[in-house]
Amino acid sequence: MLTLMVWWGTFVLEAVILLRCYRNRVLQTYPFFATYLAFVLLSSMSEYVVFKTRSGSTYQYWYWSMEFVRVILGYSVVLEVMERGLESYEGPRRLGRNAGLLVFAFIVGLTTMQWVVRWGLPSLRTSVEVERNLRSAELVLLAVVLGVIFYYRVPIGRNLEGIIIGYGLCVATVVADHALRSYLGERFQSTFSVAAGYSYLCSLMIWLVFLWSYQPNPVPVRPNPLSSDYDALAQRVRKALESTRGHVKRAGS
Amino acid sequence: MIQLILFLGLGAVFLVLLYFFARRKDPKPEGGAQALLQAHHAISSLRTGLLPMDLVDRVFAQDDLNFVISKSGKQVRELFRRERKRMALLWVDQVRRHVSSLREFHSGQSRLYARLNFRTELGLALQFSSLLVLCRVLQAIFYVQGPYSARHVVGPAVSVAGKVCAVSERSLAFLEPTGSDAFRGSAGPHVAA
Repeated sequence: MLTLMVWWGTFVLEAVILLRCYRNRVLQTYPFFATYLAFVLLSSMSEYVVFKTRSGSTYQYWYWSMEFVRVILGYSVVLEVMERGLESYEGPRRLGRNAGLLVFAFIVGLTTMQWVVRWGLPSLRTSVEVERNLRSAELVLLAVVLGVIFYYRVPIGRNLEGIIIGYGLCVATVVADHALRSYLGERFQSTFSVAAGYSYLCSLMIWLVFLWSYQPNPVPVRPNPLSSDYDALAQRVRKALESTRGHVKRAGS
Repeated sequence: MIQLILFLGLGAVFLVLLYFFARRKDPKPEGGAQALLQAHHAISSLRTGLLPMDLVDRVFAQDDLNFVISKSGKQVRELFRRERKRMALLWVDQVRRHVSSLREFHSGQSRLYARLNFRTELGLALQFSSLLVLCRVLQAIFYVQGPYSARHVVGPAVSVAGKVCAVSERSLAFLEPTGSDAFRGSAGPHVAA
């Protein structure tokens, strides 16, 4: 009963968030996020209908098809976070994009290899493991974006902050869920699905609060300096650091 | 089992990162006068206040300890050790704070450059991090063993630390008049109101 209430609660919250995004400018600013949320709402509803009217195997097939699309749309949310969050900071954005895509390519390559090797295994287990790996790659990609935002102390708006916190919580829960499911098997599913439902509800509440009104990302006041200045700055800071480190090291040796 | 630990660890590390992200303070505006002042203060403090040879020599001077041991009682010796330990800890703490301030200045400045070099930035990030970790390690050693009882670790520092100032002054010369043109040129015109 409680699980059903959580399920219906998520439908209502998703609809309210989408409505708010439509009314303020969040929908225009974060179209991929809005698409993701709208797809989650529609696919969850369709899953409910299939669950009630069709057989278990049909539901499973439908669920994993929807889940695959959700994963793809999830990646678009992460890329949108990167592009929007760092749009005024060309250098850090390029760094984040390159580093993130490198890690992403590595994990997706590894997953594809694993998929090919385990071709004969039951599809359900393989699906759980593949999604776990893809979500992990998503998590790493998001962590790279967060790392760049942290290191360069990039100021971001409240809307984007909410999207990152809510979506990060959501993906981290899915990774933990799938890691435990692939290790403990399906008997774990019923136990953790409740926790995952609450976690998603939490994410929705975060989104509702942070996306209630439109708040743009702060725009830097300075024009971008020439790249040659950067080389000089980096060179000097590196020299200063190397020297200071040498001294502190000697003081401790 | 290894896979389980790996993925759960990944999730946990990410949640910790998310926690710090949610708690972070609003970064300062780009090129603000405050940032420039802090960076200048950090560099001049390192150059003139923390890394000069005579200061480092004095903080870790074995002669002082020998003198106190030969001339005073146990209570004075203990007081002297406590004070020197406090001083050594303060010294490392100040160096760490100023290096940290320099790191913030660098990241605050370089984020506006369009053509950041991945390798350079990664190298600098690692250097900053390792220097800060080194300061933490020194702090731990000083805290647990004190600047004298850990002499096998710190001992050579007394003789070597003197060189810190000279080389540091050279390495931090980019705020000196001769090396400051590019520094001023890149930051001056963009100082925010």
